[in-house]
Amino acid sequence: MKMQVMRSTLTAGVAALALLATPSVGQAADPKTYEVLNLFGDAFDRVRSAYVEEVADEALIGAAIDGMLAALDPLSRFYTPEQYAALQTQTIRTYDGLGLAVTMDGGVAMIIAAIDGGPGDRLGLMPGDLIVEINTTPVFGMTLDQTIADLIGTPGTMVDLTMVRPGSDPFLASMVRESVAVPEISFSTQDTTGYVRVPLFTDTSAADVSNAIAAIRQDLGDGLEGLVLDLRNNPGGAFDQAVEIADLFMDGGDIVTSRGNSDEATQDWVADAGDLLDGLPIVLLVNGGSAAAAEVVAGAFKSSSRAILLGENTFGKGSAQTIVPMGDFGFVQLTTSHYYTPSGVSIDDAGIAPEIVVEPSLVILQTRNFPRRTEADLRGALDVPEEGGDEVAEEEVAIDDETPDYQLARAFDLLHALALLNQQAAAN
Amino acid sequence: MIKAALSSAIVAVWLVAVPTSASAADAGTTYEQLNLFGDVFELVRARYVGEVNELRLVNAAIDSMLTSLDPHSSFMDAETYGSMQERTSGEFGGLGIEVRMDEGFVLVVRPMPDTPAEQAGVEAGDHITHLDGNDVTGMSLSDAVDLMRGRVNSTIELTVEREGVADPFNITVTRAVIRMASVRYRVEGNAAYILITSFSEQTESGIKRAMVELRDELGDDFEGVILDLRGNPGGLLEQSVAATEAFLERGEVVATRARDPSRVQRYTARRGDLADGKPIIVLINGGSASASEIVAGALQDHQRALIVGTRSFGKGSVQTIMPMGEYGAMRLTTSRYYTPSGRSIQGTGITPDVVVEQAQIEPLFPKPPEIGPDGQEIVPFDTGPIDYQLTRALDLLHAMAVFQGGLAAN
Repeated sequence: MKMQVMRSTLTAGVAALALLATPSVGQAADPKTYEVLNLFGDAFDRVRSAYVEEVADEALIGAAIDGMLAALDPLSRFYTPEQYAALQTQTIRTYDGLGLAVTMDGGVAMIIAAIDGGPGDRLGLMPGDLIVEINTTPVFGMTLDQTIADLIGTPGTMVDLTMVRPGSDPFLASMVRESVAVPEISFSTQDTTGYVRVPLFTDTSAADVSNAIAAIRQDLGDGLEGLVLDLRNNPGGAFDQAVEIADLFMDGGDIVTSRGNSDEATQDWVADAGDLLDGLPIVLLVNGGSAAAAEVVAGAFKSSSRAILLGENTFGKGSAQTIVPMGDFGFVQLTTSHYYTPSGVSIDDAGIAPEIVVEPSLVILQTRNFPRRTEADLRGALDVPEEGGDEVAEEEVAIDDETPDYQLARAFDLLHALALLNQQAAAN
Repeated sequence: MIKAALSSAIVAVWLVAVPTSASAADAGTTYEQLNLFGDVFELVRARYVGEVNELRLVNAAIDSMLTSLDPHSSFMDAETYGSMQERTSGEFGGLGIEVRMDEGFVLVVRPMPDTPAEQAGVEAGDHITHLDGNDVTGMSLSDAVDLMRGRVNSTIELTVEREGVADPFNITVTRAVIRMASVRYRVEGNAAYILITSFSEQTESGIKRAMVELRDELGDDFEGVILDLRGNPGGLLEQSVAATEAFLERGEVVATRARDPSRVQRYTARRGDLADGKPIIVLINGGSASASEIVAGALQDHQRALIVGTRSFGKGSVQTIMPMGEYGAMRLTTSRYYTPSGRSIQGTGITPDVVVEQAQIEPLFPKPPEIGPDGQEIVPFDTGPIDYQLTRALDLLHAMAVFQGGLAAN
């Protein structure tokens, strides 16, 4: 997932930062720097003079800059003025086509999360799955942008992804591309508990969550005992909305900090006073598909103990890019800072560990300890007459189409237990 | 102070870099472009969030610049270039397997005979999933190959998935110096069969030795030569010229042309024909590339050989290795080559005179097994699959010999 919106929130700062584009080098340039630059000049010179065909300087330098930035991370890149203009006018839904938020890892594409209801989600693609080929073309050597462009394609066309999932054989994922709708926030209630699912942070997410809470309050009134906030498979999105959502439930305190190298300004986001739920317990559901903006919320809640995190370790991806103009040539998008939770953990690292680890599991009820024996199972039993076909039918165990959400069930249980504890404490 | 020093130094660097060959008109834009690169480099140095390894940045920039040109130009950093040199000097060892990437894993195309891999039991079709416990998923082929190479007598543990075996298992292989015999040869019927696996420094001497020994063995029965270039990816240009020269009385073998049209280099045969004009069949397929195509193209143009098999790969360019001091070396495409008739095989390849697809041959009515005097079945010595293309080539060569013999008799 490219943090499209996270970038645009930073645009305000860009103009000021751009002034620094000429090297205000704090770190002294050691002699090696010149040698290394000389090496590039030498290589460039040889290509210009000895290559079998004439090549435009811009093409050579363009490729060199692309390669240099791609060596840093998938989100550092160069935009030509044309590409930059296109970026300003169109909102690219990077998850369009297959509903996959991806990043690059070890040269191939890695799924951060499959967007709710998209083709990838319906097929069961999971966070951490690797895409090694798109329609038999190897992904290795491609940039994130090329990969995303290839995944998006044209709606209605078929795409075959060669997938590698750690611990299983490579498999082919065949899907038809479609225009994937922006996934919407949903909410419901169960007994005395509210449930809000945020599948992606969009520009209206904070308002939508606020409205959802109001609706839940209206439904349950004073009976409301707590909230399950579900950020599983939420690859991020609008950073400011994530901050605002954390703020909705925090009565003050730090939410997130961005820090770059020594020259870069540190920025803190702090919660205002006031909590929509007045301190009612929250269980935050996270998994390996919770990334970036979702990890901002997870980090804030965990550091301030505002919520209990339940589920699995988060993805570990949270960086901010700055766009710096390079004269008439275009723009450099460079990763200039990482996000840190209030407890000082980098979000762009190992991910945030939940307090209660619950792996997604299939619940198999064991109401019978041993298989029921029938007359037909006994040795030497009389043949069953043909018309008595019951025996066969009985073997087909009806499987519920809807797999129960074990993690969610555990979250509800936990909230209920917390509510009971609170009542006991109040009674004593 | 530092700032000023840096800027002026960079200007100096770029002035050195601006090629003297550039005309005054585009020197301005060249300078601007180099300046742009310098600016982006500085920006990264000053503001990137993480550690910046300057050499790594520039290596990536050079490699990206070169790979953007064509599939054969690239940059070898000091380590890669060093190991390439050490490999040729024989100090480094390998496993002796031919591999390619397949669905993210390393696929063993085949273990080479008498190598550590074969002795350890690695089989064609094995998928290698881990090297010394390192997951190969996401690795490039060259990264995986680098891991497999190492000091002679050091060991590596391969985790292998094999069809028909339920669980992955480990094979420990001890690295050894792998010498790729460039030329292998044997008598096939009345023909001298010469297989060239790649064009290395030993090719020329290998062909000479092969011709001497095989002609000695065949004596007057010698009917001709089968030169097998199937799957030969190329190698040294000079050696392909030597290989062609071995079978040509005289004439041009190949011409290379650099960007500057005046820089044409022609390679011409001077020595005698080791086959004394006897028919030659060259076997090629889609894996015959570059230097192989020079040989096939030249012998075809001079009507010295009949080309049999399937269309060749079609790589008509020449790369030069340019050492870059302590930093490694560039592999840069510097010229195209043309066959004696002036054709470029770039993209088109060599079309065989007789197209023979490789095929599996099964007799419709297999002979019943022979029973030996002891009542036991006699197992034929050679149970390997029949090489259909080679069989067809031998038929053609024999037919040519018979026909020529008939002509001579009249």
